[in-house]
Amino acid sequence: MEKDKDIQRELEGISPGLNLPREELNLSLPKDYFANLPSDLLAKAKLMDADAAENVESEFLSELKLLSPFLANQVRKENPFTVPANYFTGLASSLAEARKNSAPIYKLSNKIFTFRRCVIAATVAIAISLSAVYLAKDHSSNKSFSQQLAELSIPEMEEYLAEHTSYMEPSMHLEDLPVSIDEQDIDNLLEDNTLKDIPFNPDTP
Amino acid sequence: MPESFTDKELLVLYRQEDTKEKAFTMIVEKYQERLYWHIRRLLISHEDTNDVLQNVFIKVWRNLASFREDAQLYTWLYRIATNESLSYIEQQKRKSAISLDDMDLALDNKLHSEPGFDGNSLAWKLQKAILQLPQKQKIVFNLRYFEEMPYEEMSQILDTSIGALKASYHHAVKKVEEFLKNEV
Repeated sequence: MEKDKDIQRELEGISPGLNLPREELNLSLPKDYFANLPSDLLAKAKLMDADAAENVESEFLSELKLLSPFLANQVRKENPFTVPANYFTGLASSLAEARKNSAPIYKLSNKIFTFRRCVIAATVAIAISLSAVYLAKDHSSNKSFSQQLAELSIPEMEEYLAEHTSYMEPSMHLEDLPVSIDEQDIDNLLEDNTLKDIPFNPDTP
Repeated sequence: MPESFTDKELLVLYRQEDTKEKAFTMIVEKYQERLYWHIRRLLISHEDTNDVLQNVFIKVWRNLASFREDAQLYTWLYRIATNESLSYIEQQKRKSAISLDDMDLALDNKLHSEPGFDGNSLAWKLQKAILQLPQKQKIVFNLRYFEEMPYEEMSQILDTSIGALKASYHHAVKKVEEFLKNEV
């Protein structure tokens, strides 16, 4: 072959008398060596990366060592809490059940507490509404506000509230409402309606 | 396996009526354990944690349709879980009409009544030390120390600057260290 002769000629020109054999050595290769080479290399590279990652100190640990060498040397990931057996395998199905019922999973005590707050809210609103109604009805009177309020009959109040407000259903009666509310109840009511998201401690350094 | 789906893929599945429930179940399976431990470290008792976790996922079910993808699903879930946990603590305080100090004491009592509690074990001492922290520091410490969460992600969850989070973590670590040194 022309190319082969050229190579031979070039070799003789460089090193006259050097008569190297031109035959290929019959070296063997593992079966499918080149076909498998890309995937073999990729697997090896991943293994090397994983080893390297294990040896590289995480940003978190470097930070902790800097902040508190004492804490960094303690056993870190140990979790002392326990969870009931199979809790996580059953959670998705119990949520599906709760979703069908479409009610939040609150304890009964929470529901009672919520109901109580609603009743208190209604009471506050009723008291304010009654004052306004009565004053509007008889503002020319010389009687004190308390006197005027005291003279209103219960059916009169119930009728007005059922007709003019959304706080009271026609089937409800004033006797169903709590006799008195304390400061704490009012605070709780206001806080519930003002703070949608609980803010974090503002005094945190 | 749920882990093989990205959050984006899960959201696409959720928005199709025929795969909505399946997608929700996969979201629950993917995140339940991480959210559970995030809440459990704040509330200590399993029963309280279970109540809050279920409420978190019910809230997710109801609001996922309006979830905007300019935030990551994962940070949104953590944010709901954090707010629900804090709301739960607030509720407990109001319900029992107790102060913040008494609330800490109540959580400490819950810790002591946990199965397997051992006051001499370092892992339990660490939990006691964390209980002494102010609420925000507690959350920051837990997310960073146990979950190794990057500050960028924490910033999105807690809506707090990275600098402030680093400062919180720094103070928390110092307080925990001091507590443990006095205990050990």
